[in-house]
Amino acid sequence: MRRYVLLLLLLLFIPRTAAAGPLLIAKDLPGWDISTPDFYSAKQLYGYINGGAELYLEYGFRQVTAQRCTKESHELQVDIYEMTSPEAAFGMYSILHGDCPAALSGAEWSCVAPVQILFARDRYLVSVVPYDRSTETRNAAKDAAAALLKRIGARDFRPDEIFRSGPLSPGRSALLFLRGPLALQNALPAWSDPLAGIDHFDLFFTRFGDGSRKTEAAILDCKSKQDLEKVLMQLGLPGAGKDWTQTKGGALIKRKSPRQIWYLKGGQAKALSKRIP
Amino acid sequence: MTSAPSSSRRRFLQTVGIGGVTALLPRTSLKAHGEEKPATNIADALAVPRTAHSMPGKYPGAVIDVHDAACLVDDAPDAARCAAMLERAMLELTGSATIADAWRQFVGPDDSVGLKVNPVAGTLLSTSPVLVEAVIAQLEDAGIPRSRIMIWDRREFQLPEAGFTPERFPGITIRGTECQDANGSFRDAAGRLYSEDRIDRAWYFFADYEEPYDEETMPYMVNEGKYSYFSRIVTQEVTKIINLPILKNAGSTVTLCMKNLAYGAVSNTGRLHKHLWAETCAQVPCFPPLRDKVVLNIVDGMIGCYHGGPGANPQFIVPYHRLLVGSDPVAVDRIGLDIVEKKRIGMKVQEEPSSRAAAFLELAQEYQLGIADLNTIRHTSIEMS
Repeated sequence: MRRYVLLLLLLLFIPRTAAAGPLLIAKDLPGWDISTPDFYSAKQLYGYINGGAELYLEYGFRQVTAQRCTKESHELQVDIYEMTSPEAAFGMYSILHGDCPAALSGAEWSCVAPVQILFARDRYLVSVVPYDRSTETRNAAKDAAAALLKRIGARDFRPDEIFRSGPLSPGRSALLFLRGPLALQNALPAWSDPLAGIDHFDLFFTRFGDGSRKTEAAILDCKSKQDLEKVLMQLGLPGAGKDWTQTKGGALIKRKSPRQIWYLKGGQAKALSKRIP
Repeated sequence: MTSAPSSSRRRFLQTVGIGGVTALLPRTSLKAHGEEKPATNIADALAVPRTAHSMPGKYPGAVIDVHDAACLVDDAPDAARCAAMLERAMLELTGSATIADAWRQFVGPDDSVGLKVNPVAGTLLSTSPVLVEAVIAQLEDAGIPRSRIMIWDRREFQLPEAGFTPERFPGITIRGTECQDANGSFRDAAGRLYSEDRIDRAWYFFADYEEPYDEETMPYMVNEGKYSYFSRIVTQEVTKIINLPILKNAGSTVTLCMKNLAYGAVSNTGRLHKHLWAETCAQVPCFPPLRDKVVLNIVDGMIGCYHGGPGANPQFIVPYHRLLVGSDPVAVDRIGLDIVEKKRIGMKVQEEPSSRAAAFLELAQEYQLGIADLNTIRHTSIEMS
């Protein structure tokens, strides 16, 4: 009986521990007051980031942990978004990072800008916002981000090999991962028409090269064969097969599986198509 | 600041009856970009005769775009320069000799004036209290007493976070449709939502689409079914509305005058985002409490954003150093869209203008709420510094 009670207590305890996730602690920022964390679940996200919640929910969101750090008149805000997968965290990062003058050491998907530090690691998207321009606050923001990066551990999200070291690796740093219509409207509105009426999809997209060598590349996964057929119809290429085929708009499309296509367009498209099996 | 139902409201009720009699009129079902849209009761709104005050107001197609590179000091709006920008825009728009005359073209001492602000993005990206102070000061100069001015939005509890407090705005009513008590509860002792008393069930936007009510997500809102009820603030408490949105994006489009009105004035809006965003932005303002009361639109573009909106993502918050002013919300939004779109393209967020970004404005133009055609809009740029 005692064993069952212990097991019950353990089961009750585990979810609470898991819910806490990585947190900022006092030793990360000596001399700063770090608030007790506030947790917001998916259902409470509207209340916390009204206006921006739907995009997180579309990718797959579990909870956000919010902490405020203060020291005299200095202040910074730390938000740790726990997504449902590393892919989802990377996807949000890919939309939200903006121009990046610098990165965090050892984190490929990180962006250190004067007004915000953002990084994706494992299933977490972390935002650190310094509320004033002082060197002290900005240094504290970097320290907080570095501490959380270390605490989360794990490796950077690894996109498909073709983007990492394969033929599309020139587009690695500009890679977008878009999951659903809201992500598309935010980051790639030009694809809204070909994907009109498709609510669920995963799209890796990148651009690279300048001038006549400017090229777009994408891998699109739909949730059903019917959805992919609809996309192909809207791209003007119904019945695209396993070989690269050119659309009226000049893009090259190849069907990799019943639910997946690869896409190339621009100056290097033809040459790349020969290197991509 | 309450009043008896206006004559236009009585006409609306006579036309459509009260509560679910919209079936008497055909509901409009739309098809856009190959997608069949849920039917709405837009026909009800269009059946109500327009008045002299109906959108697009006194100056259809006119947009005054005042730019002052010095309007921000330490990243915050400067009160004197902001007031000067507003004054210049009002004089230019109206052609009046004095600022008091300019304001009196839109409001009078007997009006109850509602200032529709947007506080949803907290201190970083909400309508600037500095701009609202300038509007109030100029209204007072035009003879509107503070007791007849209200700052309002959908969510009362977000207003103080954005700086709209009684301490800062003494004598001004500050109200929202959705509200909580001093203990933080959205319900009274009997379990009834406080906001039930702040909506007017005689006025509604029907859309044949609903989503399950989520008590945890939206604990404060009358948020069920296929009806979105108008706030009593717009149906009963104010006679004129001055619309004060922020210059910011929503995906590849913008959330400016039309969105601030449409989603700010009715309940149960969660269901209206996914499939009916453009239709809601264009159709809700067709209903008389908005169509016949919104007299002026002032877009706060001193600070705005070009990506990550409508929430506040610091990376994408930028100084636009401008105000956009006009009586025509559609024309003002069209110019605002142009500004934000150019910024997005310049910052490489998108490559080219989105084919869908202006869809809600084209729809609003069809409903005669204003002018969406850039070639017809009279866009006047003024450089202050």
